[in-house]
Amino acid sequence: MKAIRWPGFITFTVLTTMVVAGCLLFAGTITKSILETTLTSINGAKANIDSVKITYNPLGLNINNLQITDPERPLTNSVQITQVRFSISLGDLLLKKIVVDDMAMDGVQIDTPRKSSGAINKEKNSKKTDTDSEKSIADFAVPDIALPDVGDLIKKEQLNSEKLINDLNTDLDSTQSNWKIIRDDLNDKQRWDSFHTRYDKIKADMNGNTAQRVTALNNAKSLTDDLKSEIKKAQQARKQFDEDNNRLSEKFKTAKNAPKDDIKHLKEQYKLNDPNAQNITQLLFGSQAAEYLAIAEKWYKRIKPYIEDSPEEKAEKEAHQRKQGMNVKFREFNPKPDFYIRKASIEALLPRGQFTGSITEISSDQSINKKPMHILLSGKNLPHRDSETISAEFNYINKNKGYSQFDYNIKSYQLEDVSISKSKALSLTMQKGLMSLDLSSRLENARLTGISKIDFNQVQFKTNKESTEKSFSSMMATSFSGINRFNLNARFSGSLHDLNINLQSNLDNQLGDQLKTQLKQRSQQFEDQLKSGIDEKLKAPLARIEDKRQKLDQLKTDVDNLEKELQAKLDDIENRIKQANKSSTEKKKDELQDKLKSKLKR
Amino acid sequence: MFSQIIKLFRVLSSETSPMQISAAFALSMIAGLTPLISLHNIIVIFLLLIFRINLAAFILGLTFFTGMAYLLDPTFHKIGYSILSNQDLNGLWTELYNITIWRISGFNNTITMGSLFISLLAFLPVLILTHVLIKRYRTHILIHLDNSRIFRLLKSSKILTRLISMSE
Repeated sequence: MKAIRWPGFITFTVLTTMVVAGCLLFAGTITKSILETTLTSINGAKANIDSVKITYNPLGLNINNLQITDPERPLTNSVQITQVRFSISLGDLLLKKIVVDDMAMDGVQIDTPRKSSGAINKEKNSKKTDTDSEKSIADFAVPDIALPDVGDLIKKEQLNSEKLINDLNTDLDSTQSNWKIIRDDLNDKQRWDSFHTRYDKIKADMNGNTAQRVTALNNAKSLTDDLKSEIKKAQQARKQFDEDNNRLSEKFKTAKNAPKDDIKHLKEQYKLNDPNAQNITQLLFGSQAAEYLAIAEKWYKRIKPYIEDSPEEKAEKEAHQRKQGMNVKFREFNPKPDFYIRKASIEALLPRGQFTGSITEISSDQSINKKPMHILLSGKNLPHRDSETISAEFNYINKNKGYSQFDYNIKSYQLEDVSISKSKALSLTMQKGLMSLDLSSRLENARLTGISKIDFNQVQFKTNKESTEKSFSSMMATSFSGINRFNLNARFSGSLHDLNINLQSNLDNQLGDQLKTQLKQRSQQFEDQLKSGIDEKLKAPLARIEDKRQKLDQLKTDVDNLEKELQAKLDDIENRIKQANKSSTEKKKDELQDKLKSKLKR
Repeated sequence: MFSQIIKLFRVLSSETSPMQISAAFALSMIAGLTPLISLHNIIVIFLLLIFRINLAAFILGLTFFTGMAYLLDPTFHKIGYSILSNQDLNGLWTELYNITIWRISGFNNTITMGSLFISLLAFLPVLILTHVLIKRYRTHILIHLDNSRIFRLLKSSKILTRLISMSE
């Protein structure tokens, strides 16, 4: 037996035993290190495990306190699992495949705090970005159409009625002074005295001798002409007066109606928006929908590395293969992916309550196991709601036609003090309410489509606005108090970064009706206040105008009287002239008769 | 490297059986040309430790053939690929592929298959050839060397010993 080297045989046996023993002794530590490194590499932030225990019959792993850091918040774990237990196929493990038939995950929690930072690269701006986005979401602009104070408005605004009254006032003043001149001219005392003197002289001369009578007649004719001229002037003045009066009446009428036009104009200027034109739902829930989608995007990014190979990883794998030759693949009788978990049972303690469920067909390559991954989680003894279910399907069997389907259902969730809007313009809180939600979404070819239906019942709203305030927000707040049920339907489609969200709700109609009624009331109130304000402002100027008009009327009456007096005098003179002419003729006739008689007597 | 060559000459010049040296060379060729961490190399190590095979010759051969492997890898890849993609052998490969121990051996890797195929093919010729060469070296060259003045001078001087100790 010289050919056999016994010391060599012993060395080989000892070495082999040492290697096996070392593996058994340090298997837990080695596995822990491998798992931490692999998960850290996939996650992009630290993954920590407290301890790993390995059982050998059957071969299994017991992972205690697995913490996976949120890459965007290094002091927070995106997922923390108290214990993960699973048995593993040794044959597949020797082929570098992790094939697990049944896995149990207990105490799954999300967003738990970490004792130390789990960042690989320091990201200083991550917190700031969160705050910024929160601020932008919380503070949206409510279209405010606060009605101004009527007193201030009347002081500030240039009223057309006021302008017209001032114009009329000026016109009245100028007309009045003009009329006064005319009246004073017509009523010139010196001239009237002259007329009286001339009239008295004519009267006296009429009773005089023939020469005096002839003079009187001539004077009477002259006086008649003068009086006619005066009457004509008076008539012209009256005509002028009438024209002026008509103009002033027209202006007065316009000025009196002007406040109505002013009210109409001001109402137009401070018009209350049509409530139907406002998409209240989009305004109130649009930002929240965007917030939820941002969360969905964040979670998708977290899950993505586990369900899809990035192009960089694929290229790296290929490059690696070329360096070390190529592994030719042959048909497998029972093909299994490199990483495969048939079923993982989960017991999670989420902020929303305790959830139990399972994830089936977790696979690194679904084209091998030919089954999509399913997640089903449902709430157990949940507070404030009847039921809550989360289900998802990640189907990448055909990588070119792969899709992720996510469904979420909640029934009769009792809402209490849920902040709907944190806007300064309108802070809206749902004090009470029952919510039922059905959400279904699908991500395919980097395009997300989905529909969400939410019903709210027994709703009570609370706002930061007083009903006495005049802003649109306060009107809306008052309108909310009258709503006790509404629905909210959202349809979304597009890429995750540029998603088109269409929100529809009967809230718009309900609020629209409520707002319409309130707007009508506010509008009427505003109009009444405006009317009384304008009336009050124009009261004094209108009274002055009225007074001036009365004075003008008096002037007109004066001129009318003067005309009448003139006419009377003219008539009298004309009568007297006629009588004088008649008596003169008769006198001449008598004289001629007397002369004739005397001649005949002679 | 220098010490290895000196050791080789020592081994060649020693009383060690030519078969032990040639087997070491032949086995080192398998271990050196194929990827070192492979299942078949455990068998090689096992054979190396169990049987009286010259370790110095094995280490020297391993160093030489590992260097060669870097140059020959592209050729091994081509040969391995042509063997693995041979349709006549597909049934055999498929059967082996579904057996865990064979999958662990990495036979489906083109370089492993190519290099193992070449080294197994060359095993016997290398074994026989080195055996013959060692014998001839000992009967023809070594006798002449031993009788030469230079060789005797080198053996008697301390220069060679110092060089060996320095290189070690």
